Amino acid sequence: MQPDPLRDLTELVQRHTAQWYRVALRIVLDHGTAQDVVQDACVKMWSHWTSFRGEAQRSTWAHRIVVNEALSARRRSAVRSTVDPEVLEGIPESPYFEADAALKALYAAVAQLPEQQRLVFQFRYFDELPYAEIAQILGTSEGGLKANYHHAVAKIKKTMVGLNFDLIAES
Amino acid sequence: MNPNTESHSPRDGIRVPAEFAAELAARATQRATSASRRPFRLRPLVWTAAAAAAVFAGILLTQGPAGQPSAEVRPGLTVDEAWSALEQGEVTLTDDELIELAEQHGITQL
Repeated sequence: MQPDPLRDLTELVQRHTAQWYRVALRIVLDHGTAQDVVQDACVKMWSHWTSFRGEAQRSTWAHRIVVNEALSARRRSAVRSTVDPEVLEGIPESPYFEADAALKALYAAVAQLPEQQRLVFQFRYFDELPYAEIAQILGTSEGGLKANYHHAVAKIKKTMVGLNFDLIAES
Repeated sequence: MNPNTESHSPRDGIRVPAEFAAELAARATQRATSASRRPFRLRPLVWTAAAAAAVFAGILLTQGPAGQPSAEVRPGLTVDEAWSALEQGEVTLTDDELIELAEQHGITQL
C-alpha cells in the first residue's frame, strides 16, 4: 500500500483525539484551551510529519507533541496572568469533567506537585501507562520517572490522609 | 495508551463523548492540513533579519572615523545583538515567539 500521510494523520487523530483532550485538559485545566492545544498539536504533527524518524510509535510521538503544546499553553497562561482561580486549585473546568469530593481532593493534591512529578503521576495513575512509554513521551529516563512517581505518591498520601485512594504500585 | 472515542470509566473523571471527540478530530485535522506553515517559515526569517541587522551594525563599527583602529568583526550573532535588534524594532516576533523567548530567559512578566 502506498504511504498516504493525510490518511494516516486522519486515522491517528480520530483514534487518539479524546485521549489527547483528556491529557491536555489535565494540564491546562480549561475546556477551550484544551481544544486549542489539541488543534495546535495536530498542526505541529502535520508540519513535522515527514521528519518523524520512527524512534517511537507514531502515537507516542504525537502524545509528546500534545503534552509539550499543553505545557506551553499553561506557561503562556501563567505569564499572562489569566489563570482562573479554579485552575489554581487544579480542578479541570470542562463539561466533561465529573468528580466527587475525593477526586477533586486528589486533583488539588496533584496540583501541588512539581511539574515532572505531576505529569508522571497523571500518566501512571490516570492513564496507567507503562514507564517505558512515559519515558518516551517526556523524553527522560525510566529510573528518574520511577523516583518521581515514588515522591509524588508519598506527597499525595501525606496530603490526603484519611482518604483511601487505591494508588497503583510504584513499579 | 487507551485508544478512545469515548473514555470508559476514566480514573481522571473526564468522560469524553464520542460525538465531541469526532467533531474535535475533524476540526483538528482540517486546521492541520489547511494551516500555513507560517511559524516554521517565519522563525528563520526573523533570525535572518536579526543577523542582518547585527552584521550591518558590525560593518558600521569597522568603518569608523579614519585613523582610528577598526572594531573587530564578530562572526555570527550573539544573544545580546539579537535582543538589541528586537528592542530597536529591527525585527518583530509573534506572540508565541515572544513568549518562548521570555520563557527561555526566565522573564515572567511581559
